[in-house]
Amino acid sequence: MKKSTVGGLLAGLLVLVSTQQLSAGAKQEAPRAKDTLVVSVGGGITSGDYEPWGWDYGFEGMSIFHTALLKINVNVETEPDLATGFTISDDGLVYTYTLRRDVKFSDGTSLTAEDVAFTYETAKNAGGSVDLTMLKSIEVLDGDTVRFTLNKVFSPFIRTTALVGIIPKKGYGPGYSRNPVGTGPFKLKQIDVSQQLIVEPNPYYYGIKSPFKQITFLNIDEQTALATARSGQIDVVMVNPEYARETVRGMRLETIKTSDNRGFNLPVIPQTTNAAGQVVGSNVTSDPIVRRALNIGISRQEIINNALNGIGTPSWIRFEGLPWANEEPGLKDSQVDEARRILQQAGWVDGDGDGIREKNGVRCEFRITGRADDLQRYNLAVALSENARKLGINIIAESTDWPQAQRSARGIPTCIGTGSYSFYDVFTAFHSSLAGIDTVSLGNSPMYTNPAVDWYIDAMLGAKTEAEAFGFAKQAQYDGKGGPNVDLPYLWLVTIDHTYFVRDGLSLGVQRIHPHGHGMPVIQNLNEWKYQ
Amino acid sequence: MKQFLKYLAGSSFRLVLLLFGVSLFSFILVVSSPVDPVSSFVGIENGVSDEQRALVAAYWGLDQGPVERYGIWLKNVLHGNLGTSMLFRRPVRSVLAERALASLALMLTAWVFSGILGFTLGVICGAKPNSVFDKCMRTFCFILSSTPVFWVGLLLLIVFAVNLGWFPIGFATPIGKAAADVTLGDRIYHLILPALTLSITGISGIVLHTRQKLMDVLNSEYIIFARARGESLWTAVRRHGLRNIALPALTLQFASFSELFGGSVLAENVFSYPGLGSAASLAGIRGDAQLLLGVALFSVFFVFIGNLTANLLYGVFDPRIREGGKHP
Repeated sequence: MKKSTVGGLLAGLLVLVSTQQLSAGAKQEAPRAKDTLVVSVGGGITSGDYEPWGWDYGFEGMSIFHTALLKINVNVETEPDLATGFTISDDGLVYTYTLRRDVKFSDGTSLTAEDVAFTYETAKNAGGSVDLTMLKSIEVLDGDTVRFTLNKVFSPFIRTTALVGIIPKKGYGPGYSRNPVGTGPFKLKQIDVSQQLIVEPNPYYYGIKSPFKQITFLNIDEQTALATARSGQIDVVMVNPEYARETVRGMRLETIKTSDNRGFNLPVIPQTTNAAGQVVGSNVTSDPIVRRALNIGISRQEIINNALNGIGTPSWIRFEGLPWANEEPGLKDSQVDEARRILQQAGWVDGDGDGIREKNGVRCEFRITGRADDLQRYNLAVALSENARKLGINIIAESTDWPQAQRSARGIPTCIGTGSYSFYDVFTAFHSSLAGIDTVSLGNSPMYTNPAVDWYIDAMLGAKTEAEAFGFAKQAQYDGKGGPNVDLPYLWLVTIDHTYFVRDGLSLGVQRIHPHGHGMPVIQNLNEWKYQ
Repeated sequence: MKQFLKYLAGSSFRLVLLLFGVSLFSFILVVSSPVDPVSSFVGIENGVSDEQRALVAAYWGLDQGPVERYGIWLKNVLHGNLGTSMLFRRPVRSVLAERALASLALMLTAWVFSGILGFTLGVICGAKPNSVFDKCMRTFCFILSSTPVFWVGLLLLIVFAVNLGWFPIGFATPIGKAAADVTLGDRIYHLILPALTLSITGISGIVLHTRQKLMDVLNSEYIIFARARGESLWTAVRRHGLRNIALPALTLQFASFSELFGGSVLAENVFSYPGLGSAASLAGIRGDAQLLLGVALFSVFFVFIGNLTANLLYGVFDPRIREGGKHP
């Protein structure tokens, strides 16, 4: 009896201490010097692998040590960077880039066409994250001209040249990944792998120079990020949306728009079994009326409020915010009555009064998965399931490990994340070459096939300019008559906002819309950050 | 001496067998886990073509069958080459060497601390069972032993690093300080909270075991006789108790090497401490087989050394065991 009292007291005390400390404001630190920054944007940047085709660092061109031939501007369009311009041959296979002449690497040596050729040859064989399988050969024409020859028409190659940072031929060798020499706005000062990365401005950089003498990137566990922000030792820290309602003295919450979409694939073919013996397709979602009823009947805002703490923007298309997105013909959700009406009309009726509709003996019911290691996706799956109930559609939300969720996605829809800086994603989403029932990939996992859409996508890949490619990409989504925007092979829900606590007075410049992946994208304009 | 060498040879043989078994078992686990290393590195939502995926697989030797992969790995290990980590793009050996040092410092500090503190507290509790101190301590131990390491870590972090500001919020070196300027003091200062976290959770088992053993000893007839002769409690504890409970305590302490390693995985993640633990979890999540096997081998070695040391120390502490070797 006595023992349990003591135990209860102790336990109570522990809980009291922990909750008190969590809610109490932090000890205020003395203001630190304003010529340095401490930043936490996830562990990837401290990986010590700074080759431009590294897994974390080079992804989507988030380089601070390197620049590429082109760059992606705030409107997610490409513009010249190391190259002054480029031309594409009539057959669409030969790309010729002309280089700037005034560029130096951070070690003081000048950039030449040789370096560009060397970079692409190395990247192609590096087994890294950059896909250069379409590149047949690269030649140096003279000191400042290089020519790429492709083995197939592939207009997204323009984007690729905006993502591959250029490395020096002479300065490259073993150890480069930890001591990168590049043409970017910063150079490496010190790396303590998995702990911190310290950088300083590259004096030879030809663009806007950072006003900070030193910037330190920390690798902080997601659970402790908020506590760290409260400690006052950090100026920018990425936090999960769960914490977006918290306040931190001396800091403000920045919510940055993204094209980081979340949604579910809705298989458009009836249920069948593939070569691997796996059940693919669905007798429920293969009915276009069910897909339409779901898209217009749910309330995306409600789902965002329930699953994401309200942090996110409702979205019903995949490429939200990107220049190749097509919002036509438009879609309004929360039309519960209309959704019920079309379901009723199509023969989906609740005959046995259990709240779930049936048609020809098929219950209007299917399973979906959210990946087990990403709470946001599972929350979205559960919130969607709740939201669809009022339509008489029973969605069973499950948590599944990610590899398994991908493998079974053609039978059991899974929560997909998108948001790529390359319009190649239009191909990935809708092209019939990825629609096979034996394919294991999230690319076109609804198994959508439409010859007209294929034609537009092929035309997009063969385009001579980005503007032309964007035009075809938009038509691939909706050409005034049809396309995925009315066939609705996906159920898109939200573009997730990326949340950061930022020191008061520190400006993060004009952030271009973030791609997939919370964390690193915020540093793409690191050299433009400054105190006001 | 000959006896000792024979023992050592036998142990080494068992170690080799164990290393082989663990590596094989770990490898089977890695290849049969659902994590596809190529997908986890390229990112399945990244729009990378199948050709590029094949290229990546070929580059890292992932296109071969599991038997071939293990064979190649084993051959390389016998030549002293632990392979290359996909994750860090560096030889596994150099990744291990770099991180083992940080981890060992952390684990040894925590180990010594929890050993000394746990033993002392256990003796005090066992000498005066059911006193107020004993009751508090026991409750405390029960709470601790059911508390996950990362939660303790988070709690210490919030109280001592964030609110009181006594300790740094993590990392093995000060934020933004160049490596050349980092002093030994800096390193020790950064070691305290993670080591405390690790030792706090390790303490409870030692306290409870020591307490129980001492109680058993104190209840034996020779102690009752000694007390009756007028020996004070603490003299009895010192003369008879400590000797008799040293062996079980020692066994426990050295056997805790494995728990220590497991706990450090969690503690290192909370404090962003760059040791083997955080490398192991990263390698596991991303399917970096070579690195994971490297860490597994290291941990086997570590735990084995712990148990071997305990076995050797038995002889030092208890001559009967040493004698026993001569008359099998």
